[in-house]
Amino acid sequence: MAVPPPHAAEAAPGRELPRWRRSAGVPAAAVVAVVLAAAGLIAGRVDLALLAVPLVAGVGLSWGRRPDPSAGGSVRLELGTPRGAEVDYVLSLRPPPGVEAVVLRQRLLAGEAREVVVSTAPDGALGGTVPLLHSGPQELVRVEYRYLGADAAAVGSPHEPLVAELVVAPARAEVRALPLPWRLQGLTGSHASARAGDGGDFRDVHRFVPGDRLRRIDWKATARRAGNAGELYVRRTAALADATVLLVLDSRDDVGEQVAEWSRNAAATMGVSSLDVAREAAGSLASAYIRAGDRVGFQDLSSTARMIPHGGGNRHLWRLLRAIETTAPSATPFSRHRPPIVPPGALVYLLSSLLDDQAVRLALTWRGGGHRVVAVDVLPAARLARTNRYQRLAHRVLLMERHDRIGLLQARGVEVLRWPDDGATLPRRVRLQLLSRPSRHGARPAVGRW
Amino acid sequence: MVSLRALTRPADLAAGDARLPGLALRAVLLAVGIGLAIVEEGGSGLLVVAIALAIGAAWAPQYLLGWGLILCLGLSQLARHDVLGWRLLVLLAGLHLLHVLSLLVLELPWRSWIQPSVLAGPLVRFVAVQLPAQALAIPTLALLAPGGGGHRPVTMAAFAGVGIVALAGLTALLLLPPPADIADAPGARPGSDAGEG
Repeated sequence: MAVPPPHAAEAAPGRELPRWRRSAGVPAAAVVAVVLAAAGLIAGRVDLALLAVPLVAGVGLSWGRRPDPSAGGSVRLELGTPRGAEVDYVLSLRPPPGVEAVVLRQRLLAGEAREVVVSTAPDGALGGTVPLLHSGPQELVRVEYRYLGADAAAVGSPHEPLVAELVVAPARAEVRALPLPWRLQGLTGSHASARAGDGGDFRDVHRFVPGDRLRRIDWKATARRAGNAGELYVRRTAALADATVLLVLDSRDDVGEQVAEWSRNAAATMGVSSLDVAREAAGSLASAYIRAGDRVGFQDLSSTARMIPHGGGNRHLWRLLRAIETTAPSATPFSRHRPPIVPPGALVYLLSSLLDDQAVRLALTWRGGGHRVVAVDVLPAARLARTNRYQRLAHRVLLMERHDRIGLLQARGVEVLRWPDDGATLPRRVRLQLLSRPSRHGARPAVGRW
Repeated sequence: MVSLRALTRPADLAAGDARLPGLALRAVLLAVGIGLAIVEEGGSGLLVVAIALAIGAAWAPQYLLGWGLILCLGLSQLARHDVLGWRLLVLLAGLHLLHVLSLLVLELPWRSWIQPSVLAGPLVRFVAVQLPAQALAIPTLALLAPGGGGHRPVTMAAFAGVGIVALAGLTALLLLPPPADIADAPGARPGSDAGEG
């Protein structure tokens, strides 16, 4: 997990004065006191009247110490500077005068709520540590609170919750071998294209044509091949070109490795999630291609707002990484009628868990359009702890359907790259090298294509 | 990438010494209620009612059964003579303690963890009320309660007028609606100020 930026997040303080209400116990105690006193008076029993005295005094004392409704306090929730894979948070309480206790209801990582009742001692800064378990935008701490007056006779209304959020940058893996599109269409770059030009390795020996440089004339080849004195041969080199890459991130679902948690998907217990893997893969590929001088675009399938046209350079890389790390699953079902537009000759990476048919349909559409498509499988290896037999059966059915989808993709010429290094297959480095090698079956890399 | 091994249970809010479970207050309320019921209603049929009220007060405080228990135990005094004795002094303290515990139980979540210092204020006020109440009860009962021969040192009739006036004032004091400043305070309007909570 990469260290998030230090400016992290800071929750705004509460912005409203508490509305105070009288506890239902106060009138109840008053009624009991009156009844006891009346009974004592009617029955001529002083002991009954005496029993009402502490009730009256207690209610009067606690209600008389109720907080001033026009006085406001402040509660502030701040995140500290992240330390490795965790971050500290501090809750500063400054309640209004008259408040004796604060009921706090806190939720870490959108998990189970915990309630704490604290006194309002002057040293009252509370805090804790939250582990950073996932990348992307996430709610780390949510605190709801209400004030209590003396003896809980006066009760403040619950305040708007304070929320500390953070966008955690994904980890970035080193990618050395870069698969390339079938056809490199750029005019400059770092990859050797099939086009004759400058910068690349030796391509062939060709007859001299107007426009060839004289210093490229290969006199030995001319002596060997020339049929007459006017026939010259030049040594040609391959031109360098950049690649156009489109990263399509399928953020419509986010499932963790703990299958038993798929229905709840709580951040604290779901384990490594598919979007964690997808963000890491997208960030790593974007960085590697931009460093190689290529142009990279980004498209989030669940949001048309997170679409970045292809480009190159460091500033573009920062835009890409920011878009990738803010990717979050959409709360509403999302279905595309038309696939995102892909630049001509681009290599398309589709990062998906492949748990439904939509991603497969998009990949096949792009593949049918002549693009090289690599489906990056980001589903983490399943952990079946605490699952019951029905969950295991459902999971098995899902995996069988997914396996069929992967088989269909491969049959239609879409290459599949499994990103998590879970030990089940070759290391990711080797898998990328295999994808980067020239293929003998039609799917040839850029070099030699033309 | 974070692995599952790095997954740790989220830390609690480091609220120092919040080590008292909210359920403990209910347990104390139940114990005090049942104890007082046994002391007061030992042999009578009201014992079952009092215990049921105590259980209800601890189980579902929102129904205000704690004050029902106070009323039940208080009115059970009618079955006894108003003599000065330890039983009445215990009842005087016990009913007040039931009132304080019922107020706390009513507003504190049962699943919460409570700093013991939260209970310091109510405890101090309990003692502050009980000391003068007990000090008042002893001479009052000594003067007004009948002695062993059934003779009252001071007749009740002498205090009846004062008692009626006091009762009327008490009723007005406790049952009148809250002061207007509570309901109509500027803070009652949501979003009336910024930066304050």
